[in-house]
Amino acid sequence: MNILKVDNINKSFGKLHVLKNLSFTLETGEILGFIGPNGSGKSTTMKCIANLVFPESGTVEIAGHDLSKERSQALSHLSALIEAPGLYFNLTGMENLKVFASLRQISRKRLEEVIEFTGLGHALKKKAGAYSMGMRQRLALAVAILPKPTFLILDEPFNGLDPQGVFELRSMIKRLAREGCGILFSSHQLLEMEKISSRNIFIKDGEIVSQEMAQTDVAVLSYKLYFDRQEQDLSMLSKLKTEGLLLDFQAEESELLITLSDIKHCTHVITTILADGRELRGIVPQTANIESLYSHIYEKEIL
Amino acid sequence: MKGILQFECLKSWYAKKNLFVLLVFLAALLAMITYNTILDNNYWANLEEELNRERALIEVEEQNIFDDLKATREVAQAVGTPEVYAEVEALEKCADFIQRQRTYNYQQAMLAKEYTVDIAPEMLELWIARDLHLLNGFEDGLVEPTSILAKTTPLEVEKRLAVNQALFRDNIEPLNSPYEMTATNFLYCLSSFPWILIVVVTLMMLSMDLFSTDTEGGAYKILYSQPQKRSIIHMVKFMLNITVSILLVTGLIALTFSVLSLVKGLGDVNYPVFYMKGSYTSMVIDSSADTVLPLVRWSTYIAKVIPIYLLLSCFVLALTGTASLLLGSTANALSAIICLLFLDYSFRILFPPSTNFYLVWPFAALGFQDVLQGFYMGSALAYLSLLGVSTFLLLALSLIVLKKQDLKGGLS
Repeated sequence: MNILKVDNINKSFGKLHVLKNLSFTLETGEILGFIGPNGSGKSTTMKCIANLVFPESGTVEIAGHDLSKERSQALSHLSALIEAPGLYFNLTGMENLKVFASLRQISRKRLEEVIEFTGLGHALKKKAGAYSMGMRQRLALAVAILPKPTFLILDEPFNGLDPQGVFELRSMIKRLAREGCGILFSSHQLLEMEKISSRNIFIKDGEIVSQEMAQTDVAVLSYKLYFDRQEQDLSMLSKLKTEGLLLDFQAEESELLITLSDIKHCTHVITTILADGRELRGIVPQTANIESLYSHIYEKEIL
Repeated sequence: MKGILQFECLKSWYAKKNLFVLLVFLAALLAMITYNTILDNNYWANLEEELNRERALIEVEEQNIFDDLKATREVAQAVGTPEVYAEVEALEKCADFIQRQRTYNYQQAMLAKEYTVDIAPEMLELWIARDLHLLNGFEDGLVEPTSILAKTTPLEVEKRLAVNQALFRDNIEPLNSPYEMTATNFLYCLSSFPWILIVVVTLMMLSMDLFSTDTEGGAYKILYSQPQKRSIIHMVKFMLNITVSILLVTGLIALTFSVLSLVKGLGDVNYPVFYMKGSYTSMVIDSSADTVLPLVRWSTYIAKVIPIYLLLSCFVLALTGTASLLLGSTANALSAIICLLFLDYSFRILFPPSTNFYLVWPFAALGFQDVLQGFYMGSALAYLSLLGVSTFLLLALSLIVLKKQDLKGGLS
């Protein structure tokens, strides 16, 4: 079931067209990574979903409720942590929690659970303004999960967290997803995203550049082939690249690393390479990581 | 709605900013009381000095008149025409007038030197006698425009006389001075410009961060992504701020009033105060009626002040709250407030009270006394309407902006 459906949203700030016909969905229990360089429109998209910014066209549906028509029902499913932690820095950590708990009439029991989650202990009695970035982030996360949301937006949630904090947050995100919470999150820490996201969306200049399945599907785009290479192979590989079947290749003496532009070209490319009856001694799928995919996608965009 | 209400209450309770502002407000009230008490303590000594200075000038005038009289008499003896005798008669009248004024002045100075409450009726009688004599002098043309006695206009003399006669007639104990801080006079002073600025600035401080406190820290992203309409959030914020601020400020004024009535006495609630008749029944003051204003009892006067005080408070809170929303930062809202108060001060210097400008300048209502005593063309009713419409427009504007605007700001 879709917990979020974004359909063709557009947004401009003055002459700057920030979001261009952006569409995607998020399933219940899915962790969707939202990837893109600074200024690509990630935060604006998240703000549109949280109803802080109004899109000029298109629709946003949360749990089947149109945000523009059934705002209250739609937002009752959502909790958002967008950009820097939105806290009252003149209040203590505990006061912040109590203030935000009062917004949705959170029970004392739930509040105590979340207080424990923050792991801030006595620091909760200190003013939030005196917190380190990591402590603020923990507190803001605690505020976000207070109402046990079914849809959570996390914008750069790993910022400022120490390794222990990152580990705990990763576990928490996975646990929330297991419990059925759909999570849309962005981060510049691609390796962390790779570890937890079930799907990634790559966005640039307000447009979705690519929607890829994480890990498994990414891996099979690159293969290392072992065979006796010949002189004419280079021109054949260049031709495949020109035709758009290969994204890239690196040829060495007895091995060839190829990166497919799409998994559907796999059979055709390998058959073409081995067309003259040469013997394939081995084939090793390359474990491509999200970082290589990121540079691939944005390199493609630049080209 | 309950959630937003609790949220706003808890937030301001924990912030303790309001507590600080209210403590400053109390300190300002105490400073005002202390300042007026000092003026009150020195009043009779200062008045004696002033009367002595005035008498020295009267004596110079008197000497000039006697010199003229002597010279004219000599001419009259030599020439003996009716015109010269008429001139002698006029100068004799003038000399008699100024001589009596000097005598009154001397008696007042003597009483001022050893003034106590016991001799208050005697002093009152003396003021009445002198003012009646002075008014007669104005009527008979015995007061030269350059004379020291012309320093007070006939209207001012009439006003002083009216109050003193009322005090004498109704056997009301007069205030030691206009600065005496009895509980009643404290309220009367506080409702006049510039003392009313203490209340206005406090109200502004209470609402200057109404919206900006959410925007500056980025907490608005949580607040406005709640399943509540922005219009509800807007309404709760404003209504709560207006209600709580007015209650707190009025409560502290009432507290000061109570403490003062215990320490310095309540004062007489029948004390006569000027009030322009028709202030609440017609929109414009009749400027042709420059006669002495009617007097009302102090308690009646305060009842007339309350509506304009409440509406002015609502206007000030709505204005500052809207500035906080539109400008997005507490510092900017505070700067805007300071600019507005400076503008008001400048306008008061630039434009005399009778100009039409004050019909559309809601801050003119800051001086409740000026409004209720008809200093401006607009009556109290006109200012009530102006403040009401301005408050409504500000609230409507802020609601429209909040409902339509993309929310940005805070740390990123």
